[in-house]
Amino acid sequence: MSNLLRTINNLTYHRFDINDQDEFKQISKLIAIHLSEPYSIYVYWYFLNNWPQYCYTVKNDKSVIIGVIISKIEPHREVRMRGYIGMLVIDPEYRKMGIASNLVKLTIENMTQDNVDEIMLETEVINEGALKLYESFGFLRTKRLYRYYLNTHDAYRLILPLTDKAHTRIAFLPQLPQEQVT
Amino acid sequence: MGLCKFIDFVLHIAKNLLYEEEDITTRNMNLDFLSGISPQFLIQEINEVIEWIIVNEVDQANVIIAQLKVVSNLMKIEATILATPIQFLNKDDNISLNLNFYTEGISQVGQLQNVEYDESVIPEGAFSKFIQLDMENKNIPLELNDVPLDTALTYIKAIFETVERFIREANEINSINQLQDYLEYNINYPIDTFSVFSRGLFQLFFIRDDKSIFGSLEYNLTNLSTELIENLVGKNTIVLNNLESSLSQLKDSTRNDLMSRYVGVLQDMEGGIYHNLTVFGCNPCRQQQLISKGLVIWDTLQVGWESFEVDLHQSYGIGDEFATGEVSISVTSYIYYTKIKMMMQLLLNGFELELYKPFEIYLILWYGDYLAQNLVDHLQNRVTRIIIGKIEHLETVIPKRIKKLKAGVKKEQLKELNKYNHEVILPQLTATLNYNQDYLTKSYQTLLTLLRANMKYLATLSKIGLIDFTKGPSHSLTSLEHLYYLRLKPWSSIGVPNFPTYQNYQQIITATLPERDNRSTLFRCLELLASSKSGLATCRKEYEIILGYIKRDTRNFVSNSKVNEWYHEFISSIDVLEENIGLLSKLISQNKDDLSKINKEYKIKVDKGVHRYIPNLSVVPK
Repeated sequence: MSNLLRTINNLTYHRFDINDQDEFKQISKLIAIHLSEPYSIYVYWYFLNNWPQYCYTVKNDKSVIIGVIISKIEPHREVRMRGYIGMLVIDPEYRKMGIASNLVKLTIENMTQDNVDEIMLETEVINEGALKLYESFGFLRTKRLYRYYLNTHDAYRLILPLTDKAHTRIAFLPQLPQEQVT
Repeated sequence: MGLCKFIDFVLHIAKNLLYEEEDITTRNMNLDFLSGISPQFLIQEINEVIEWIIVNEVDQANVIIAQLKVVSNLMKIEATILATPIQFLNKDDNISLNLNFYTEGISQVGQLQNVEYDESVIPEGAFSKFIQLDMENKNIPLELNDVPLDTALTYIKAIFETVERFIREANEINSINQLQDYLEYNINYPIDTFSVFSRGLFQLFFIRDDKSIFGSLEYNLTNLSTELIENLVGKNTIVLNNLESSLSQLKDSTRNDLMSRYVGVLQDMEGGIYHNLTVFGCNPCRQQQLISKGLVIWDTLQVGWESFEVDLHQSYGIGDEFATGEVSISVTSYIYYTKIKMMMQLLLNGFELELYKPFEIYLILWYGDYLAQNLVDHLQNRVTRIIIGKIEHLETVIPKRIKKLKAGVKKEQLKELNKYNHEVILPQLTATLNYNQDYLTKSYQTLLTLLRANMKYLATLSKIGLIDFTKGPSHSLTSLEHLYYLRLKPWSSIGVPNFPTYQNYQQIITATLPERDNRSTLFRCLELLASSKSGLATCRKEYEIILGYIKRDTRNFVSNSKVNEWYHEFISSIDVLEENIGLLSKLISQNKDDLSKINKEYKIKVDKGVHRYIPNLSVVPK
């Protein structure tokens, strides 16, 4: 099996294979069915195409994708490197098994190795499961975003600070080296 | 057509005064909602239609007429909002406003709410997704929202009620303190009860395109800025009143340099005040972001003004002085006051938005205590001394000058000025001093006592192991130090007051850990709870005094100010805290021989408190 990263409880964790059309289709389907916010296919294609190394999938024993996390790393306002978790979806049949937690941990570990200063995401204020998960890892609610989702729910912006840059106001940070910005 | 015109106005508000895709998502598909037609024309059309309906005895005429009148009254908002003559700060003209159409609107909506509709024949709220795709539309095509009729009518009724109220109350404002009371307690405090339309409309109504306030011919952003500053530090601020004449003895080049610097700092100040005045009509989440941005603006303002006022005094002896003769930097002192107030708002509003996890609550209250202490010190010392310095100047310095002058025009002019100062300025300075001491300082002093009482209760919870403020999340992948600095990031760039380090916090927080043995912990807990109870009793007494002051003082509060609710909520929060302390004391007494038993059977539950600044941490069985 390609891009296999680890096996936990008979489920295999993989790095997304950009050349595998079927993987893309399975991910699209999982997102379309199980995420409350409707996303255009272009949104996750943008993530998968540009940052395939930060997309991890979980497959069952039949090689069906039952969980996915889609993320990216980009310079934020040209002063700090920001990891961003865009989407995390687990097939409801496989929830409460620690899969989401493993995927988030995997993402954080890899982003940490790549020297990000912070990792950010948004989640609905009523999504207690997601909040509990991320906050157990140390993500803090830094902002409440008014009517952020199409269903009119507010969101929390959560940030996991990993370096001093994460908690220094932008105006007081030097520019990142050019090679990191471009 | 009337509804289309109203939509056109909503779109105008959305585009110019609200945040797209936050407050409101507009999908106008590039359709023209009668932008070229005036609301007055359509109101007239509706009147004619109503007449036609009456003459022709149309079926269900009363319902149709009520519907038409509601639409007509909605359009009247646009037609009149900027033309309503508000008597802002104008005590003499007590002209009552004609806001009848708002009350008519409320009654017409009430009439429509009593009508039963056969909703089965009402077409579903659909607008072809294919057409949406074809039109100029940047959003994903969606079924139109199906808003239940009663919800829509209740919403429209609330628009009439809210807008009528904020216009009527604005017309009653006769002092700067009343303006601040109105903005803080009748607009900002209940802002989440305003519809998004009413919020946007308020901003349009409050600060006009020409920067006038409520459309006043007399008050604009520039002179309002001076009024706001002198409302805290007192009238007769040398640097704000005719500085040019104070500089007249200087060389032309020096005078020009100073004037150009002065214009710069004044503009900066006006920008800062404008920034703060735009916060009131925003949604609570956006308000936080604007206040956070405002901290940088006001911190920078402080640096600029302090340097200007100190230079002016050191080099040319110009500027307000304390009675002791030192420079008092009046404007900088106002900036500092405003900045700390914003720092506290930003911090304590986080409870309402549920931003903080239980392990952070002690940190927030501790930092709030630190800021409140700085604010109280500033008001009690520097601000009071500034006003006393100004009084001293008018009461002794000017009369002495008059005495020294020989008889002549100059002496007579100074005598005239002295008379004016004694009749007008001195009573104003005394009133400001009294308000600051009897209300403003007392309010913050009591908040400080309340925060401290709350911290002692939290420390007790920690002592008996119900919570541990020294530990972060269970599987944290970052350090508590990073979390500390991230939480306090918005305040981290502030130079004065000093930003507390993580080490400062560590010293404080370790004192909340259990003592070395059960007996010591027991004594410490009893001590903390007794002190907390005593603090709460003081707060209750002080809040009663404050409420009495508000009731007696009609000059500084608008007639139906919600400031009363604000303080009553503090008192209710005290009730809740006292109840929590009572329960905890009982548990401690029942388990005094082994306090560790408590955390085996009980846990902490965190809820929003009655007052937005005071969260409720209660002890409940596991």
